[in-house]
Amino acid sequence: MSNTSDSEPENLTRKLNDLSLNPTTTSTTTTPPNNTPQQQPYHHHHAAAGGGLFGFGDFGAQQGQGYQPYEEELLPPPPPPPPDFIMGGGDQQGIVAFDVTSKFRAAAGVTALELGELVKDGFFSLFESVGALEIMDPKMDSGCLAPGESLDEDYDVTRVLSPGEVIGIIDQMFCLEMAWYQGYPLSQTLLTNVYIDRMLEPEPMVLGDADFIRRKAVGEGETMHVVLRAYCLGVVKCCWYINDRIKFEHYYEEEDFVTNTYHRSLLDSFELNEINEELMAARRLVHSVRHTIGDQLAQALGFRLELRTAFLRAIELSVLRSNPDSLSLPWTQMEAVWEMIYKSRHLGTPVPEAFSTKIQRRLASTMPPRPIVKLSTEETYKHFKKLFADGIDVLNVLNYHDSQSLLQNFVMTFQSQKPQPLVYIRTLLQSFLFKDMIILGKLSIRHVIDDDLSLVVLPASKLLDPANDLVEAPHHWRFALAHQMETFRQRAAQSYLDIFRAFCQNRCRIRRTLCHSIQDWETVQLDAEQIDQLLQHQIEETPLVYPPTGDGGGGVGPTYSLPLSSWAYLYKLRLMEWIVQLGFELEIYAPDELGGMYWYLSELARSRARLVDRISFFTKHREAGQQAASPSAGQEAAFNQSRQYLYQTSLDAAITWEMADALSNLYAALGRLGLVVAPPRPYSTDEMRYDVRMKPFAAIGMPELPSWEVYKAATDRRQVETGRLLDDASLSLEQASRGLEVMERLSEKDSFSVGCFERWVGGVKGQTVAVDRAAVVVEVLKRRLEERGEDKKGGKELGLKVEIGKAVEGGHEWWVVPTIEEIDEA
Amino acid sequence: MQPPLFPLSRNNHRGRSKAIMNYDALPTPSSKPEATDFLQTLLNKNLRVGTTDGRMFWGSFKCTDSDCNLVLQHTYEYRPPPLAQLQSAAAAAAAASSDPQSKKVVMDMTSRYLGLVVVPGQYITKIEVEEFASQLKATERKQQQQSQQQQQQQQQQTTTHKVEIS
Repeated sequence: MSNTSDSEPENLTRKLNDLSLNPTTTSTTTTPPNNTPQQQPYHHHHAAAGGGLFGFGDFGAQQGQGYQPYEEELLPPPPPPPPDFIMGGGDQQGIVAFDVTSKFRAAAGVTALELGELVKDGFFSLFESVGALEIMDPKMDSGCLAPGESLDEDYDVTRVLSPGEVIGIIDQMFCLEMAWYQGYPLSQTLLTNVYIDRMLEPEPMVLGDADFIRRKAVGEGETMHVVLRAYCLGVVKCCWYINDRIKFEHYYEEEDFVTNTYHRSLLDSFELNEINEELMAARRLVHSVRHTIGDQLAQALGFRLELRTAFLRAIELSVLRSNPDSLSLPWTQMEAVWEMIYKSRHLGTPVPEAFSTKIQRRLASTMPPRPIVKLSTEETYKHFKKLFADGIDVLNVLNYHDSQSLLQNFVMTFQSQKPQPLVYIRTLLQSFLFKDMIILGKLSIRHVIDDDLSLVVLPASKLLDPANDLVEAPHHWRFALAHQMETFRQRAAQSYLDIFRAFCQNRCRIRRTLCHSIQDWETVQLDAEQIDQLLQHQIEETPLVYPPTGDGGGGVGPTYSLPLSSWAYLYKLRLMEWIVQLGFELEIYAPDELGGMYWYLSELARSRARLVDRISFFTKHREAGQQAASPSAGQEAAFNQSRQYLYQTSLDAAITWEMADALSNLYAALGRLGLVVAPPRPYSTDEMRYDVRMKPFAAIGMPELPSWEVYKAATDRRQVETGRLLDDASLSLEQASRGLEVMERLSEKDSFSVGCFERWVGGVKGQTVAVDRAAVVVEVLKRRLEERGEDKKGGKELGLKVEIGKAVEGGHEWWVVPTIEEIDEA
Repeated sequence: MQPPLFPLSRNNHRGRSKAIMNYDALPTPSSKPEATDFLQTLLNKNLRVGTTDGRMFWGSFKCTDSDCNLVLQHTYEYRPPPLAQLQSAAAAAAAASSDPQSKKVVMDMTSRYLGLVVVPGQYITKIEVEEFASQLKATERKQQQQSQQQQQQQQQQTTTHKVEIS
């Protein structure tokens, strides 16, 4: 793989030797022109698509997971560089060029071809040519210069810089660096810096060459140049590491991040310690000149260099995945230094000339130059601050406590922060979670899945007993258990890990990926049911009547506990709820659809509650059975933990359905009162829209998607008076509020949010705020209806103004509560 | 037509009987079949196309029309160094060299990969086609070299310090 990057056409410099056919000027890196250049790179593309995760030459460098490739990567990979030649002749590599200009023109134009007639290669279709770049078209041809415009930068990198100017340049680079982290391409950010450009082009082979002023003697160099160079080295190396990390994980090119480096090698061949040494040397140098340039400036420069050192250190440590406390040291250091940097920003003198879009013309890109992305200093400050805070926070994931804290709470709450952590932090989270298929650097996948099964459905069960694996007699029941459980784990592991992986993406992609996952979980559930049936036979389980006859569930025969399929079903239901809830967060639903979607959410939450109830019933029965046989302390603890989890999740389901019911009723009432009006939709019917909206759920057999008629009737509740709707809503809100109070009192352990308790409590508080707000809206509506009568319609008659979808501080993203305002009709 | 699984190599002249020839010896096409034939022989060969702004494009010739618009595949762009740099380099070379006759200047010409491009006919200043010297007849090769040397001598007389790129 690596040899392709050598022959990539980057850094092509053609030696021109006038009037001489001297072959000694031939560049040694060129490959003979006569081989078949295209075939090799094509194979590379296939290899990459086949699941390789390796980075190869920049041009083909997309992550290997089959996400959208970058536009330019759709082009065939470039052939090796052309032969060295001199225009107008020169056969030093056995190539002769003939000038055919006049004959060509004569043939094409004057004598032969008529308008619209073409001479073309049979294998070349005109359809392909649609994608061709038109040369000299300023919109397409990035090399097209305006008259008198020079391609090259006039900026003189050798000019002497004052310390203030170096600070100014560095601070400007912070803004660009942050813009890159946020998803803008390098070409519009850091690579617009003239110093970095000169440093990287032509590609330095030894570290001494990695300088914007080349060919200077050792030890020579103006102090400020040395400082700026060291800083640039640090930045570029950071970029290389970050780019590399991101490319290795799942992310969405263009959407999240642009990994294209435009054939610039970001100092990949240099060791980190070499660069660290340069940074250290620069820091010493700054220290030694502090008397000449003044303490303030020297300190300001020192902080900037220190930040770079710490950043590189943080990156270096992050691969360890061991002790979060030691990993967080450089991040904490950066947090502190960043404040000092921000305070000393006034010392900098901006040097806008040191940044130019012209450099883009020399990058391997077919785009015409685009403007430099400029973040303001304040924004940059805030984003870096958040980056460092998230960098510390994400390390907490390494403190594994239990499977539920990890997924539902740590990953989910971490990702639901607004604004979402930067993609680098998200890829760090992914690498902590999955790198080398070792969860958090210390756990096997089996460990995590078994923990989760034990917590949810099988506390202290012999199905999960590690002793099963030790039995070698094939007819022993334990051997059969171990075998069946292993089959199940292999089946479910990928789907289970996919949930984690999905939650590490951007918000829109999470929802989209979950829509695919639920179908996967449907099959996991079916497969699990088969395994359950084999297992219940092996352990000679006695079927029980469920629901117990006293509760009006008579008539159904005894059933088995079906633990594995229950587990899968629980995940499927939660995924479905998350899809609907993310829909609210992402503002997918129109205001007049909100009521219906909340009704569906409530249905899903009720299904979850019923399932949890069933699981609890069987777990209790098993616990009672084991109690008779005096269980060990470990077994009892497992039962306790599982009971707590089932309690917590059924409480959560109850809160969800109560809140969803309340909002569904509220929106139904608002619709009736003409306070929420559907926009005119002349080309669709409600039923067709329902089909499209529910498409992800239509393929799911259990729970079955309600038919349009059922949905319509349940959403409108025609037979119920508007006043009743509002009464129902306030009743539900009361219930929800009571549930939330209980929820809020749960401890870190009991709420399964170890390591993210604060964020989890924040979520519960947000829900409480949403409930309170909804209650206020319902009260106002009720009062107005009593005052003015139920026959009134529209905001004017009722003297109300309702707004939906306005993000309100302190609420919860998943609960869209309308705001209501009383207006006087005067 | 289905494109081939792997694009033909850019120097692959399979199935073209008249692939190798000395273009200088060809008459200027005067009739339609002759002209089409001429253009057909150029297909899939590597052309060096000079444009009015001094750039040169090197790629495999795929298509042309009556306006002489050219479609080139797998194209590289070459750009001469700016004039100011050339002059200063030439001056430096002249100053450094003790031999006033020596006017050799070595400069970097930048290149980048562009892929598929259309060069509109109106901007084209020069079209050259590449052939393998080894496949020319010995006599033709000699002729070619001679004519080049003549050209160079002329250029030497007309230009003094200037690096000739196109």
